[in-house]
Amino acid sequence: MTDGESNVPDLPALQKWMQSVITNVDGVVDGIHSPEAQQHVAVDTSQIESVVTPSDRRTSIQRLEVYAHAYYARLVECLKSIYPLFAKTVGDELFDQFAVAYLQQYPSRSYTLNRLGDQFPDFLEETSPTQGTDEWSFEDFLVGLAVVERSIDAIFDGPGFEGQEVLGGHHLEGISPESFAEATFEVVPCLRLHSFPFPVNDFITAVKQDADAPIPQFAPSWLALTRRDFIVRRVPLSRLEYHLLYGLAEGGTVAQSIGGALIEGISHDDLQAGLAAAFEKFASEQFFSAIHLSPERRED
Amino acid sequence: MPQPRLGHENLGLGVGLRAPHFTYILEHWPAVDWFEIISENYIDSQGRPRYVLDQIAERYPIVMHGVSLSIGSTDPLDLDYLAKLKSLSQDIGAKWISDHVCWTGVSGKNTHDLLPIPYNEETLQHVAQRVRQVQEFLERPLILEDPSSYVTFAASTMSEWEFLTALTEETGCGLLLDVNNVYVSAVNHDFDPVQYIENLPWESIVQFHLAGHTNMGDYCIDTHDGHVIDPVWKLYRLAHERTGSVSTLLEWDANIPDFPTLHAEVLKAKKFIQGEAIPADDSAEKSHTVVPHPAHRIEHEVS
Repeated sequence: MTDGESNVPDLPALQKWMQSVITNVDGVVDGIHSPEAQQHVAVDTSQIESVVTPSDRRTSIQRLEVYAHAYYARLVECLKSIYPLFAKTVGDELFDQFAVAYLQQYPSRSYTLNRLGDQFPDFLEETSPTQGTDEWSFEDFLVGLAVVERSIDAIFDGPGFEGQEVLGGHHLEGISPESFAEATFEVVPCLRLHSFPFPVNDFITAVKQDADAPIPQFAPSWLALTRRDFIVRRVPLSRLEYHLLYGLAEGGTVAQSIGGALIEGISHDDLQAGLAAAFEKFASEQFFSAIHLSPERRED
Repeated sequence: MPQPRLGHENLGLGVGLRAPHFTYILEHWPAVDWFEIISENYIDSQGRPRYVLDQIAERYPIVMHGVSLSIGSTDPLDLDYLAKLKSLSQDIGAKWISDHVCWTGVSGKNTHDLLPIPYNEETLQHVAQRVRQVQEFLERPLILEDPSSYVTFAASTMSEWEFLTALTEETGCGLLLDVNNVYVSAVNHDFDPVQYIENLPWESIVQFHLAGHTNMGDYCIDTHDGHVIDPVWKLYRLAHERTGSVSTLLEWDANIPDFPTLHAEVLKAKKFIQGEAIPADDSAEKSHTVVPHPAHRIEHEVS
């Protein structure tokens, strides 16, 4: 009946048994008969009172079901609060199916519910019908939406720069072109960059205004997420801005980051037209916390 | 014999700090005696929750109340978690740190529920050894709450109040008496809540919890989603008389009302202690999923 020889389960066996029973997706009765539960406490439903006692009005099974019902209900609601737009997009029924399947594959292993959804986008990607193919599908759009919401949640309570000085546009003035080309930047700790095959950010804006916003057609999009005054902000980027900022965030010099953008197919014409405006935007959006220049190359 | 309340002051009537009230509190600085936080919502926070907490901690006494210590689990204690609890308690000058007599998971998993333990000598020694370890780590007595529960075990050989009494004697820990939990468990397990309260070590009780629950007909669920009902207020008055008054905290975690309504609910305790009648108010409809406490998480804000 137990991990040991006694008829009464010891505490480790009892806890492993109860956890396997109340987290069984098919319910308490199936949970009691599952191999996982049986290896800890080998009772069937007719013997359950030897482990869990009944009350005057409720059976042992009914009493265990309170915990079983609460387990998925509580955690599904929590996931929904991390991925509210994803849930709104797929609807409650489909979201619950996704969430229950996810919780079976990735049960919480953290003391905080804030980490509960960390692997949800990965789970969606793993289970997408187009995983490993070159095709884009509705599921890929959903993965993108989940990725954005995971970033938003992480940025909301992660490190920020409130109360600290950031780089403004005036800090970029008076720097020689040669010195600027070799400059590197530190980005604020809450900056996250995303590239998607769908206009995910446009959809988020639309769905916030109209819950029935249509699913967008395939079109590449780029997005920066950051935080100011403790509010997470979405900043759409052009292709040039994304690749340039990506290179700088990776620690590259301005010249190296421009080179990286060119490799990604940005034309020289686009580059000349967009470079100054891009840096002005980056400074205005407070993406940079510092610039590093060679001191002898700065012009007065 | 320990000092009453283990030497802690009576902080008065407080409420649980919840995110929907952040803006109201920062704008009005209401005349609340003290706040209790859910520890897990703040120990890692580097965003608005911590920013708000720091401001509130400058003006009000703060108590830290956790839901993931899992003192009854047979998994090893999470020392990283304990270090974060200790660090935050020092940063905000927390008056005390509390959690529940329960386990939340095993084999590395966390169900995020407050699961009951069998009350017997084996469990007592297991929990007592872990309480001592936590108290040594935190360098202060741990305050432990009676859980609301929905099952009892054939392996139990003592009542919950006997277990709690023995635990305080073994470890010197304090008790957070959740009066609503006593009522809920009494309904669910067919015991007399008055007998429970009468047999507790009153001098070890540091704090009371009050909350609403959901009556499901043949059992109750501790949902923290409404007003405190009259039988719970009566148990509270008994506990108040027996302890000579300790810090009292109202929890409201689902269908959260505006702050003045929340505050008014805990202020009823003052009237009740003074012998005034409290009009019954259990009319709130349950429009949400009925899930036992806890389901705590601060939701993000995005422009």
